Amino acid sequence: MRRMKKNFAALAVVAMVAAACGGDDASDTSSASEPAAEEADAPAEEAAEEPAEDTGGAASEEETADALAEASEEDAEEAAAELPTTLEGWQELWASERAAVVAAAEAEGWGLGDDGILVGPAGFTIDTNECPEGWNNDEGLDDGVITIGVTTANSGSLAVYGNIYTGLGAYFDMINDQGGIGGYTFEVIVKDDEYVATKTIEAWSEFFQSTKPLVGHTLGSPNTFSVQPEFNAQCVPQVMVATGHQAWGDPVNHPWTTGYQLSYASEALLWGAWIEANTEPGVVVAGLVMDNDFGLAYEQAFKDFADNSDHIDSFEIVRHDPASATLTNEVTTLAATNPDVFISMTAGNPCVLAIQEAGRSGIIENAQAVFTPSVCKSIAAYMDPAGEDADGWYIVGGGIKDTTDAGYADDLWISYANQKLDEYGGDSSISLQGEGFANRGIVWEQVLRIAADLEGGINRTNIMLAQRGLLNFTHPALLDGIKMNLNGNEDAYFVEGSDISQYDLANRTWVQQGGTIDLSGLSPNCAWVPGEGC
Amino acid sequence: MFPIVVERGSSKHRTHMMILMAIVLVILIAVAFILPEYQVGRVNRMWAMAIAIMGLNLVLGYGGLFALGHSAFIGLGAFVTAWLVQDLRFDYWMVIPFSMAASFAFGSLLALPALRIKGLYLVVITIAVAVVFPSLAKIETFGIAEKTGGANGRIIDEKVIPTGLGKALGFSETEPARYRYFLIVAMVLVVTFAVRNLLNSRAGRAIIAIRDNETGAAVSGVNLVRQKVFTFGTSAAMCGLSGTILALDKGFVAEQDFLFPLAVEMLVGLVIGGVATLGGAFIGAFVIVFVKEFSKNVNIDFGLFVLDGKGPFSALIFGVILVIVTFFLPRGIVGSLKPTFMQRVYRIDPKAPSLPENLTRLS
Repeated sequence: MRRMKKNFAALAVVAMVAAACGGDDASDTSSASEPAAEEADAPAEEAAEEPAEDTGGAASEEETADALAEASEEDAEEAAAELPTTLEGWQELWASERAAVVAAAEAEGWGLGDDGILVGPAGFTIDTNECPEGWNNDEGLDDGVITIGVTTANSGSLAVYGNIYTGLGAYFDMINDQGGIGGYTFEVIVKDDEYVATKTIEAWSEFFQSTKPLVGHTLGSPNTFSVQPEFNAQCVPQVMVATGHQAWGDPVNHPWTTGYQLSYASEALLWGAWIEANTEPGVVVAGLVMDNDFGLAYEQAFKDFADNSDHIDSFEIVRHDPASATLTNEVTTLAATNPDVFISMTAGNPCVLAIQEAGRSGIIENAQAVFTPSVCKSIAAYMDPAGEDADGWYIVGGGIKDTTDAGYADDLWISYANQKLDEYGGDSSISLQGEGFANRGIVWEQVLRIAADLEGGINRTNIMLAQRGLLNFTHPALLDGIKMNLNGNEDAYFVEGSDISQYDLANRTWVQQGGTIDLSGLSPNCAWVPGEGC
Repeated sequence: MFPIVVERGSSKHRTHMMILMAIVLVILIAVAFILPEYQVGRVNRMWAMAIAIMGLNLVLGYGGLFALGHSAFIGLGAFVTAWLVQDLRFDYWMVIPFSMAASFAFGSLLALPALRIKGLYLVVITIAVAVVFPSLAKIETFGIAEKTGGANGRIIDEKVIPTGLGKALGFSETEPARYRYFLIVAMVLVVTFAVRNLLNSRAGRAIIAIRDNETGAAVSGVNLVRQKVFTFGTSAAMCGLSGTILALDKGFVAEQDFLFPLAVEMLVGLVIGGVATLGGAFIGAFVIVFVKEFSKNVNIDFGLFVLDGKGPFSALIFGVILVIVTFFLPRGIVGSLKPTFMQRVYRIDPKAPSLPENLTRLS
């Protein structure tokens, strides 16, 4: 016992010596850094004082249900009929939409003033005087090449998402071959963060100090959270991040960060609205949840909906490890609850496993509806490998056209994009590369062209203005009737519409059920406070 | 000229050791000023991983207990740090004993199955801990998810930046990684010194004795229960310190940073560096931080095919490097090279026994 005490004492000494080593400096730090910490706390505290917005980042349940009920195939057909039928026609349409933004900027006086205040639409402002000393609005523009910094998972269990940037890189190669934008060519520099936030921080530390890209882009909610304060402190645009967390719709506290896709919360509400509209009351819903940021975001949003719904009798949840090789146990457990509706809230390879296991366990046969999430909207990657079990699955598709969907083989933009993707070294049979090229690339181009047309040309503040003022962009890779728009501090979410589709195995296509659901402008901003939400 | 031969403990040997320590000290200081700030940030993670690998080495290398759950201890240290600093407004230096104590307690609990279970069965149990831990960090019960940041992670807005003495010494607020580097190096030196002394102490000999012959150790008077609990606990506490260092250096914690692959990375570092060698932990940490980073920057054009580490091939390139190192240096870099070095370059002979005064050495 005495020896044991000695051992503990030795450890305690080690601990205290180690503590003392950091003691002086760290204690200095704490006292002197308090003002900095208080400043960092300020936005969060201000946000906390405001009335809580339960629906931040998503429309309310009533609005969602109304939008679902109002969505009609006729409206979608009307919207489609108005669209151009040639690529030249599309180019003209986009040019006119760009001109509208530039005209609005001139008319409303948007831009960076001599006082260092950036003024944008709907109350959007940034005080660039608060940017660090030496901050340069034209960083890296001297040599005619604009650098775009990207961190993504290129290895690890979510490495598949690295494909998005193979597609985006190919898109910028195409832009460069066509002469660039505003006199500049582009270089996309991708760093692999393995979906580990610590490595995202290190990669961006290197970017900020070494490469100094004009703009940056991150993938994954924790990864984006980990560097969001630094982006906003450094006054570097964190552009169209690849995560559906609602926190990216916060132009007041984080003006340099913009989101992109339909928020996970909106998607979960649409599941709920569809279930209420298409099933008998008293349904049991089973959710297979990937135990990570987006799986849990889905779970929380749908749980909130189910708790308030008289229609849903119970919501049974089983979480699975993101790196799990099989989902047999998890899905079997859910099958035992005899669900009326099964929702897969997962991503990556588990998208396929969830479909297959739902088939094996009898869920598909017995349930009224089975849903796969929008992040699994890829026929080549997830539906084809799942085999016959893939038939009949529903999806709240986020309005995105799957570039590997046979139904879009004749779509003007998708077929053009697939051809160009292959031409520029990509692989059009990989739908995530298609997303990077056909879906994200075109928005990057539109934003950069608007920035080039604004007074001062392409620079950091104009890139933010171009996004925050993207009042109406007819996106060729979104379903007809879904517009992409941001509007300063009033509308902070690009995509707020969606389709609800069902997979047709025989024809390898998503068949849209009903009309396109338009929730545009209905999602309140979200000043995210950890532990409290919006 | 070679090998240089010295007698252990001789004045020549001590002089050489002093020179070596001075060189190491100069290199340690130079690294912080030669490397760019962002690379110093990576070096800081390397130090954190070196401490964690040393901890793993204690259990696996010296103790012979095949445990693979140490990513959980690092995570625990990081989360305790985030909670105490962010919610309870502790200063960082005050957090260290708590994060180490929490990890020590967790590690000691894990030692209990190790009293009855060995080999692959222990591996399975410890893997389970590593796999389950990130999920536990996200549960709502007891407000755990709120304290750890749950699935989205948590920013620690209390930054460790130079103030007062740090500023007076010339550290810049805009380059805090250099300042933190010296705090972290100080911790690394203390831990290394403590582990070295532990291994040379009675407790350390007991740890090694259990590895070599458990029954023999027990017969010789080693209390197996106490010693295993102590070994596991100390090892976990070191990983807890590693987690605290990561949290204070990066200012962000997220459960996804402490998944099972981190435990595998530590094992890779241990094996590549050299199992049951003190210096191996540093080499191993260098490999899993910098060689892995290097593998992501490889770009070789083979004509028909470009091997680009920036793409999906980064893991493949790193894997190939590991296979090559393991093939040519099967006992790890330190474990394989040290004997050769000590034989051909710098040989330390044992101290000759002193003779009784009334005897004279035969020539």
